[in-house]
Amino acid sequence: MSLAVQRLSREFRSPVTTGLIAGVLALAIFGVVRGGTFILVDSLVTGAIWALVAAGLALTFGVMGVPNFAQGEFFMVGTLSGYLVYTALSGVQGRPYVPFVTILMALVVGFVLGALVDLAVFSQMRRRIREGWVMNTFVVTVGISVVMINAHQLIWGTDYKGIVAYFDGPPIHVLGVSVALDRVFAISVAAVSIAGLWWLLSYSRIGRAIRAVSQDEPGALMVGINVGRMRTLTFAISSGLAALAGATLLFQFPSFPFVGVKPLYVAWTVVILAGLGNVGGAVVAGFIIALLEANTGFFIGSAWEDVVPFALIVLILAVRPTGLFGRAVRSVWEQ
Amino acid sequence: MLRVTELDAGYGFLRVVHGISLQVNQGELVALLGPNGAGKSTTLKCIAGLVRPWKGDIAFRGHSIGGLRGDLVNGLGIGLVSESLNLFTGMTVYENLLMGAYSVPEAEKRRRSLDFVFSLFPRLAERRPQLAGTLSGGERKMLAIGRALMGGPSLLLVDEPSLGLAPKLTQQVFDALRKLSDDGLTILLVEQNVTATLEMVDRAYVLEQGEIVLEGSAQKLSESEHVKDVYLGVMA
Amino acid sequence: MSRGRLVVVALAALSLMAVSCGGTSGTTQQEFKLGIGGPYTGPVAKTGAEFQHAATMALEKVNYKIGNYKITPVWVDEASDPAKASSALEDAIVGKGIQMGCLNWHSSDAVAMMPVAGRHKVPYFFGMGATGVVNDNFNKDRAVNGYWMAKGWPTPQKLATPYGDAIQAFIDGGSYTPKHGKTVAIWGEDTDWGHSLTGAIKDKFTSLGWTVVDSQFFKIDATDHHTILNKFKSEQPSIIAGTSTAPETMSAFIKQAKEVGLDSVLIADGLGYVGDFYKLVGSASDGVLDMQPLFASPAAQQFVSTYKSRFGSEPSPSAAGLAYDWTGFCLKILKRTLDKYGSLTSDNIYKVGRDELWTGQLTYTDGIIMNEYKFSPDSIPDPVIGKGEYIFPVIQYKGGTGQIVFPPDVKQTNFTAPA
Ligand SMILES: Nc1ncnc2c1ncn2[C@@H]1O[C@H](COP(=O)(O)OP(=O)(O)OP(=O)(O)O)[C@@H](O)[C@H]1O
Ligand SMILES: [Mg+2]
Repeated sequence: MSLAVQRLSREFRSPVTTGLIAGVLALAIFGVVRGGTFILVDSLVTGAIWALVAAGLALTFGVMGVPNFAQGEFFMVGTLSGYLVYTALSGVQGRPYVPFVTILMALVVGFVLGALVDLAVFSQMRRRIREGWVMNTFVVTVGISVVMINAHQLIWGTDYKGIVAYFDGPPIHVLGVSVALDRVFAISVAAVSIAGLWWLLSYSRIGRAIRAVSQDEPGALMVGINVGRMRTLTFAISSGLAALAGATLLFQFPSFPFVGVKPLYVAWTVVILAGLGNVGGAVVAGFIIALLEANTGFFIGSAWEDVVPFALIVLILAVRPTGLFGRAVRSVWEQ
Repeated sequence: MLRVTELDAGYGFLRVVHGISLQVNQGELVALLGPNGAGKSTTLKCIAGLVRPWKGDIAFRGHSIGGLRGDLVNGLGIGLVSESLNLFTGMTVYENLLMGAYSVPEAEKRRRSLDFVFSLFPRLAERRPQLAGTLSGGERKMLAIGRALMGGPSLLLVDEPSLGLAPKLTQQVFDALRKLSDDGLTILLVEQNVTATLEMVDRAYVLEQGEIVLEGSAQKLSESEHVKDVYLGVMA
Repeated sequence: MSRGRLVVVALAALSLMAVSCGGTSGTTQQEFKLGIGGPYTGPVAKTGAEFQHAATMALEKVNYKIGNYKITPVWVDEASDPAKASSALEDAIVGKGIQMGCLNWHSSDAVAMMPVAGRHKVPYFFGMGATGVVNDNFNKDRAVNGYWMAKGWPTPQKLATPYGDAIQAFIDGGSYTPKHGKTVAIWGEDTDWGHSLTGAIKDKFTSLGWTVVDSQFFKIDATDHHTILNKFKSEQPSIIAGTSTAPETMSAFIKQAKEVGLDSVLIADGLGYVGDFYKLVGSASDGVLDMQPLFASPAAQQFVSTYKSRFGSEPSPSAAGLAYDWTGFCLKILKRTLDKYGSLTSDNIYKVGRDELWTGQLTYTDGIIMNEYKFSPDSIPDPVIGKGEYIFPVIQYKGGTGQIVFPPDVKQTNFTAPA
């Protein structure tokens, strides 16, 4: 626990960060007072999901130095496997366990596919490429993304493969805001997954090894960590999380080849805001972006929802090139 | 215990180590001496599996380990304290030590190693919850040695522990190494601090421009004209 | 059989063969090549197939014959690509010798095809590319682009006005009382389409005395509309009206409107174009208003069942239905040209288009989607829009299918206000 406190105090030491956090809190309060509690509730639900997608992205970058522009396609894989599993279970739809089975299957599919992609692509690249790793992997992830989009199109077509809702019941009321059961489900899944990821990285042997690789790769080798396996695992976890997010949000993102574009865009916004490779920061920044989107949508207009957060990012990067929370996880490519 | 035969190694097109051979026997404390850029660190990295040898053989307990991946070399019982230490700066002292015992499955064994490291470097026990990145230079060095010891190695490779340390701290670290050696640990030590090193080691090799130019007991080397001229003379 | 009669029969047979082989030299039948455009390949090839099937059915209805002319279709593949579209038309005119064109799907393709038709002076009728650019080009250079004689689909915003009329009719008829006075909120995707269509809806409502309490636009791929919808909820409009062309966006909007608990009447223009939208939206689409052409009349139902049994797929009213009607109208123009001038040449056909179609003299009332297809000097190149003419009925969804609630003369059911 003292460790967590220590980390937090370190991150909040900078007056710029503290000022920004204060600004965000002020914005939240302003939004709630002037707009309504729904701004807060919606930001929490959306933020949790963005946090989930962005955490994987941050992890991949932090541990592997791979700027993953195919993360959105793993989200797409999640929506697709979610759809296929859910419709295959149509006989027992309505049973409360079905959505959980569905998203778990998507998690597994994303995880396995991520592992395969790493073994087939990045592990091979590691052996051959010494220089320009970030640029090369960037190009390769774009390629992977194109391949996955086209594979989807060829095999499953461009139709929208979606569902009405996982849970049928009437929406529940939180602080006077009605929230569909599916969104309650989504925020719960996101909370549990983020907590799980946090625990894994902070306290488990494997999580420590992943962090070790991200902080010092030769050091990790020196203590006996199979670095290659940790990278594969990292990419698999990150892909699994994106797929999990996709399946969980199937009710809002019906599967089609390009469904990953928007989540990818947001996830990158979040990760850049947080500081590349900073997993914890990405979670916080996910909520900040969601809050900004909601406030922009309410006070300025929804068409500006992407513009304002992006303008903010440009501003922050001008003041703090390493992002809001800096690069807490130092990435391998810096060495 | 460790036998290096006609090792060639380098980076890119640059050959740094030219056919060197050396040997460390069970329980010995052996030094590898030499000026900057001689290839000492490269030799250690080859043994530890961080740099791929070009030619030659490295045998540990009779088995060839040349070109084996670093994590596997570590698993065989070879610990490395590198020049740049390679600590996990975002982790606490405790976590770093825990990572040192990554391939030790038995919790009991890990606890004993931890107790031992803390008794060797009481300072680390005090700094247990501190992030490694915020430690002082001396503390880092202790942590790096402690982390290497956590894996319970039978051979410890130490690269320039005196680098950047005040004489008093250097002495402390050397004392710790001597003590480990007295307890039976086999150590290969890379150093530039020739006087102090030759006072404590059993044998030494002198490496210059990638080649072994001298070898023998500490006694013999401290009396050698070459060492006196080039190293002790400069140091004095 | 006598020797003399045998000779006569043989001669007759020979002359018949000569006629059928010689083609144009005969007096009994001439060939007329009719170009029929459509996206036969490319991303919306499904629509192209509907065009081809429907046009074939229209041609079969007249037995491929107008007078003593045999009508041969030439399929002009616009391929959803302006460059391919214009060269396909060029090839059809120069290489295959079409003297008249009919149908097209995309506006961008239409813009590329217009000058080709104009350059060769081959009249082209009823392209469905609908946006205002086509009208602008038509009006700018009528000497050339006027050969793109008439559009098969009016500029979209002109179509959107019936929503206001429909709501007014519901109020007048007593089936609807606005919950929060005459207030309407506008929503739409942040595109030309979204702004121009909702602009037309807005103008209509304003002219009928409604107050527009809010207008909100979102990115075309937005799927989280909770902020907008909660804002609408606090503003309490009686109606929220808007459009989106992206299925995921549209379905998310409708579902979330229900989630948020809006009690407004929801107008979601274009929902019906989303294939199988009910699978995405479910019961949240119940009560939503939209405008869609429907196969309503008995003749239309007949068309649907014939189409289904022949081609094994479901025709859509906006593609197969309209293509069937417009092809029929093209054949009527041919008939009129033949009656008037005695021969089918591009020039004669153009003159009929100019003198009789544009003036509103020549109309088509044998269609299965609209009552009457008609043009006027004010409307061209768009068809005349309105009751009894080109109009998409307002429909209300229930359980995934729409039923016409307006205009009254074709309505299938009464409008039901949300609870
Ligand atoms: N990663 C590398 N890439 C390229 N050249 C390297 C690399 N590491 C070391 N070298 C070069 O290899 C030579 C030997 O380096 P090495 O680190 O083995 O020397 P050393 O004996 O440990 O010196 P010092 O006492 O200064 O640490 C030097 O010339 C150095 O520049
Ligand atoms: Mg060195």
